Amino acid sequence: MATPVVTPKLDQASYEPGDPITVSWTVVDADNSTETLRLEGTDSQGNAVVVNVTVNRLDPFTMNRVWWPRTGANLAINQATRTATGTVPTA
Amino acid sequence: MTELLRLEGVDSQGNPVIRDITVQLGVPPVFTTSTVSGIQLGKYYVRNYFASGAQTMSVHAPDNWYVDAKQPNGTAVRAYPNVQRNYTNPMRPVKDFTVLTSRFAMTAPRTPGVIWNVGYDVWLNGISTPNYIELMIWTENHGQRPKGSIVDTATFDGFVYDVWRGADNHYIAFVSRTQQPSGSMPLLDIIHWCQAKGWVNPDATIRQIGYGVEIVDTNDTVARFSVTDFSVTES
Repeated sequence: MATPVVTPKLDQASYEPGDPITVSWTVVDADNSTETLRLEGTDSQGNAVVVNVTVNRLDPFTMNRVWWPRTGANLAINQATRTATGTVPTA
Repeated sequence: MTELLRLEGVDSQGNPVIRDITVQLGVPPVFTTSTVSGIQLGKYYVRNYFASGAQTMSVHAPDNWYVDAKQPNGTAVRAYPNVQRNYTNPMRPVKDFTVLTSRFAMTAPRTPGVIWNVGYDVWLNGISTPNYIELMIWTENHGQRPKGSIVDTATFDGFVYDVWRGADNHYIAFVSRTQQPSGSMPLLDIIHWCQAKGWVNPDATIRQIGYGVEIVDTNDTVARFSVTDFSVTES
């Protein structure tokens, strides 16, 4: 039950009012875990083969809202690419 | 100036995350245009000149402006967005100057297929007058060629220039053999050099000193050309 760490990143260093803006983010969550998947087989000479594969199990993260508190305007969120796009508010 | 951007999310266990990020805002431009027009700022005039294609200019100051230009493939100069120092009513005689230098800087895309040249365009004796002389000084060149042919070489402040001259005697172009994205230009020394050659009349007057980029071809995509320094020092 660990709170994930979200690190946002802007696509430019500086903007002018009205400029398009894209913010992306990465998520690191201690609740992420791994699961071992075991594959067991035998060849024609009766030799046993065991292979373990580690599968990362990510705790899903959903970005609900990306917005400008001063104006209340929202950016459009793309959960799949973990990006949000919109425009910088004007004065 | 800054603006706050807030990100709000939640994971599968219901753990909420709120992150604020500060967005840096630049000062908005004092002038923007997508037509052939300009703005006078102090002693300088910044002009969004283009004859075809599309070009949007954003001006913060005479030494801080850019254009986003889109020109199809071709070989002719289609645009010359520039900053000007004008001398009108009357034009100023060259002999009245004891100092005439200029600082400059521009960034332009060095993309294959994009054709342009950055430089000064100095108009002597007027612009549309019978005895006009257009004196160009190319500080950077990316695939462009001046009018006429090479008739001489000259060195100013350590930079070697090929000197081109048109057959009609109205056009002179100094083309730097070294790319100069920024620097200082000894304008008076160059005019005096031309006068010593007999290519510019001894009583010549200066009508306009322009600095900008002659845009030929941007591969039909939007390309940004930014002036980050310009001034004329004169006395």
